[in-house]
Amino acid sequence: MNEKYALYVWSSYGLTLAVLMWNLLAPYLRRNELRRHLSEPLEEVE
Amino acid sequence: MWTWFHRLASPPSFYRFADLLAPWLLALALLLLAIGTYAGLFLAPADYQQGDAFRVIYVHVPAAALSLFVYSLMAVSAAIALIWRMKLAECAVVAAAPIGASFTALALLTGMLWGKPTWGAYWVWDARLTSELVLLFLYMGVIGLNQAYSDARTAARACAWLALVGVVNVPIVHYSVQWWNSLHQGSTILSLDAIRDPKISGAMLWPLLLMLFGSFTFFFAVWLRRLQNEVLARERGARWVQELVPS
Repeated sequence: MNEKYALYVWSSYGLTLAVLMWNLLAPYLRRNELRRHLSEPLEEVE
Repeated sequence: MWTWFHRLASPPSFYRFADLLAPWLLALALLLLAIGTYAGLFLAPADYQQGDAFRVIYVHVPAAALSLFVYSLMAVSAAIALIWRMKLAECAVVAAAPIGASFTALALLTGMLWGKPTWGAYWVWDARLTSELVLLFLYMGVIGLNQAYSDARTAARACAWLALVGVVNVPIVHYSVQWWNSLHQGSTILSLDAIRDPKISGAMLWPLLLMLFGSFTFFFAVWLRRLQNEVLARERGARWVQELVPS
């Protein structure tokens, strides 16, 4: 790849990877948080 | 068929359906994106005018297409939520907004990184760029509204109204390059003209199509996961949700 454009191109792909990773991880983190919250009342009842 | 759709709209059926579908969609999306990225970076020939800078197209165009598609999808879901008061449609609006916002921001940032070597500037107050920025603000408005209310259903209905009103910006973004004099180039593939008379060679086109299909598949995979979370949060008192939670 022409060095003149490398920084722009690789930065674009890096940003895309970051957005994909965030979109992948955010729902799983939220799911874990929800499951923790949902299990709390059950433990209190027991 | 209609009965199947009707059954799917019930939260537990949808949750199980999404659990089955999402992993397959994600696997397909990652495969398409991996091949598309490799082909876009290493197999597609450099452009005769823009050189290697044109390779930004493979991440910019899918992000921009998704930014418009996701908002349109939110508007359709919003209409269903407001007319038929369907819970799943309310969840669909709220769940799609952060994904749409992230891809809109990505479209703007990759556009800036493409603009600098080709136009000589990261940003110009051009009709396409400005309307895309307005789209990002609309997404942020929906996300903000959703967090502003303590009651999830009231929040979702407010979000649905904003999604419905804001959809007027979608055709403005898409047709801005035709309606006004713009520094931004016209549609490369996402228009009837471009389909009739392709503006990109086949060697450059196929990685772009893979990236487009991969990005849309990726969106549906993560949207299903966010929808599941919304359903879980709203149905927390239901027996089927309690059964899902490990004791």
